[in-house]
Amino acid sequence: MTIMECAGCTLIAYGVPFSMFVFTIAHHPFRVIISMTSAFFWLLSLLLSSFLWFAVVPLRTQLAFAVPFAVIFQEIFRFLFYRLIKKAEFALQRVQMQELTDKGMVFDRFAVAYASGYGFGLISGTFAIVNVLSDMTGPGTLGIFGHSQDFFIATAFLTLCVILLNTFWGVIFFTSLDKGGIHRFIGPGTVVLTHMLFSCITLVNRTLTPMYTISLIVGYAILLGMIIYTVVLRGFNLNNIRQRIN
Amino acid sequence: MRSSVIFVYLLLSILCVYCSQPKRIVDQMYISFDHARYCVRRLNGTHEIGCQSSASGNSGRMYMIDNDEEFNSYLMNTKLIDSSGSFIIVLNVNLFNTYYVDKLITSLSSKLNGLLLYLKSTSSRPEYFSHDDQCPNHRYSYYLNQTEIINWNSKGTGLFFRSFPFPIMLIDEEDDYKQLIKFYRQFNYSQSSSPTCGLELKSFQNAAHSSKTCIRRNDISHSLIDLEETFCDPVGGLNIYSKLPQSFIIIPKKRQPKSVILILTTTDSFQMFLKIKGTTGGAQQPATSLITFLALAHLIGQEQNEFKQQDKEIIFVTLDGDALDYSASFKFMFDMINGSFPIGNQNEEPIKVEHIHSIIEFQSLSLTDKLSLYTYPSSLINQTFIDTLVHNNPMIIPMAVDSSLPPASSQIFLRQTSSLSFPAYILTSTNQNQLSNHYYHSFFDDPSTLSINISSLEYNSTTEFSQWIKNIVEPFGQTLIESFVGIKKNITIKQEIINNLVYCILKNINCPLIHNVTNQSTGNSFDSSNETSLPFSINTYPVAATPTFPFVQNILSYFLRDRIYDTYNLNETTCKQYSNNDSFCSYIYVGGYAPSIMSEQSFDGYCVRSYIRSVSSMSPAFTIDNYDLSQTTYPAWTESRWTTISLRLFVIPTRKHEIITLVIGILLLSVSFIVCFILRYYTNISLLQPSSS
Repeated sequence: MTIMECAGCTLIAYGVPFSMFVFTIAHHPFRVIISMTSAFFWLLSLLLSSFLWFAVVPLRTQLAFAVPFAVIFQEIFRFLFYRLIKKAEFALQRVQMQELTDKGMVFDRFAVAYASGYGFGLISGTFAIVNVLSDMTGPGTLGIFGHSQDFFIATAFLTLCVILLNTFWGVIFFTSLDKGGIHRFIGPGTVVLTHMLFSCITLVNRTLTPMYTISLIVGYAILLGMIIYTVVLRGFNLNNIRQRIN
Repeated sequence: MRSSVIFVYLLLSILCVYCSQPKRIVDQMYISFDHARYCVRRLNGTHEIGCQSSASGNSGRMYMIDNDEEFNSYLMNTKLIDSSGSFIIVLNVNLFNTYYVDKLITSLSSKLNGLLLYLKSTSSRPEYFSHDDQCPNHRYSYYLNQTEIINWNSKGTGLFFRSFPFPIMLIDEEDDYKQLIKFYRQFNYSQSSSPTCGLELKSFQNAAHSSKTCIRRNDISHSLIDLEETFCDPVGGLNIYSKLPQSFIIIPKKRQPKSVILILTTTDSFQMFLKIKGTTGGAQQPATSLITFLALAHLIGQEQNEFKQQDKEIIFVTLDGDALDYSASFKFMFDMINGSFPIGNQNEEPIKVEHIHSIIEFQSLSLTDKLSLYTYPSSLINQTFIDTLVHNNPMIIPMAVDSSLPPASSQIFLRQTSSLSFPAYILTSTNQNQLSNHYYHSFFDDPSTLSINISSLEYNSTTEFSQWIKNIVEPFGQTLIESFVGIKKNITIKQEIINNLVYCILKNINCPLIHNVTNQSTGNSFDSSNETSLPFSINTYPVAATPTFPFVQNILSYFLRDRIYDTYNLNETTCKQYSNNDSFCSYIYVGGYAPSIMSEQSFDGYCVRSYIRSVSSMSPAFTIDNYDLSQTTYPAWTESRWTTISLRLFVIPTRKHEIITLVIGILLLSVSFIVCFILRYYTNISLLQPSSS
């Protein structure tokens, strides 16, 4: 019964993001709205990518052509979302800021960056895995043509990687742009390059007996790198962390 | 940054080598077999027969059994049987009989989730393959209350009339078999826990329980939803009858008693395994009888001037639906007893039981050296007729007086009249109370059993079979003339006509013959059935777009046409005018079938005057008001409706793999939940603290 496998893969892909949602976003209506809007922006970027794919008729079968452009479009829309947030913040500042601060409603930039990254990641991961999950509900699994049986677990872990990566990319992108100076180029540049690298590595998975380990290791290595970069960017050092833990 | 860009482009160019067409994952997981035969469900007044699968398909681990030893070793291998929850047994078609099937059902019980039969190659077909009862149609036979049962079809398994809770399918194409065995050997040979092949059979049938329940459910309308859902359709087609369009008894003229002779044949058959766009079998029964019937009709039409000189009418009748409990014969007798035979013109004096002189039937004919003639009852038969028949055709052997009749529509004609009114003469191919047909009511009953090489058969090929037909039909026609007209005449039918009939019925129904005897629009309707033989299967009402009925109607009426019109050079409008003035006959304008036309002149088109009637052959059970379908007065067969039929092959994941995936998922969820929980309550990270911003 591959219902078990389907449930397992769903939990692998969405387990961690679900916990993140429950503990960081669910209790904050503002963050929920930001996540949903951010997800919508991702969908718009996908729409544009699909227009491009549709327009370039001869290269429709070559996925390797469409992928880099999809990455570029996604990052453009992430930037556009940043501009939108900036405008909103500006508008909010002109309206009774004191009242809101008294009530505890602070415009936490970090939280907004985090929520927007999370929204982007969630919808991106969903699009990556939902077709695969629905095909998994039948009685069979991959293998009749010689494909590896590990395809489904690998896809689930890659989706998890995508969701988490997008969250951190969101934070890095927005925080770097806020910081200004040299960070305005390094931050977004790193995001675009690592995103491009990750997406292109996953193209390796489309051979008959792929080595899923390559894309998984690269993905999680990039994730680790992004976590470290975020921490550095936010200005944490050992003292700060010790303070927070108490 | 520039080096990163170059690196990315390098990566892209390498990766382009690996690019392939993006497809859905489903295409890589399943192999479907589109040319499989399937078994469907049918219902009668009290029971259901056939096979049923669940709505989403029956799946299970595949296990192939090729012969008796493998069968026995499988049943003793309890470890293998316990290893999986459900099995689809792939069985050699030679092992499909009650012994093996019952043993599988009792040993595996609920684990048997489906049966897939396979035929290795066309040359390895079993010698006998019939799933009708050993005594076919015994539920409504003439001998219902008598104890003597003769097993006319002794190799019949009767599996058609059993109800199976699982689907049964059959693959008869060699490519499908090769594919199946390839994957089976690849995956299932080692009985270890590596992934194994599985099959899914989907053939969900909408109807259930019995005809009575199903017809009742058809009529339930859910007032919120306007659509009516039909679950089953009653079995029935068209009974077609035609005669020489010469004398009509118009009221108030009285019909003479014993003035009508009926010549009968059937146009339907059934098979346990159906296929969309596949052969239906039926070459020996009923195609051979149908070809003989049509050839005889042509002979009578040819000699119509002789038949004009006497007062008896010969009516040719085809019955559709007799394979299942003689539904069509019951309907025909019901109409006759109630005065609605012949249908159509109110002014025509109805033909009733007392007007019937005798009935002659062609039933279950095969390419045999000897034919058997059964007659009943001895008190009414005309011995001189039998003697003339045997004298003209030494192939015919008359059976002993009052010997039991084989399965034939005449049984119902006799039963409904208590054998007091007219005699029946049945011509059939039996040998010592056994039907000569090894594939009675099965899809294996194809032209190869008639020594015809179907791939090399042309429109005008003379085969041993078509010559055999000629040798039966000519003496028979001679006998009819001798007996009813009173003169001895040597009559012949052109071999070409029989060759054409054989080609059209057994190979390609879209043949020049049918185009020559129909008008433009009817002829064009046969183009969609190009390169298919005449289908002989169970027809349901409402009549589907089967080409059988237009084919028989047009050819039968053309053969019995008024031949004086062959000498008239008419155009289409004049023909239409004639039809407006005559309400008994039909007039159509056709191209003309050359071998049948005797006159020296030939025209571009001919106006054909003929007498043809078609009546629905649905059992009276469905047309009588307030008839309880569970009564046994009349048969009440219905066929279920179904939507998709599919057969898929795939790999089943191992238990271990599934459990590991699920466990990892649950672990990830719970660990992340706990970690976040700890971080919220034991640290001061602002992100995790609940607030309202």
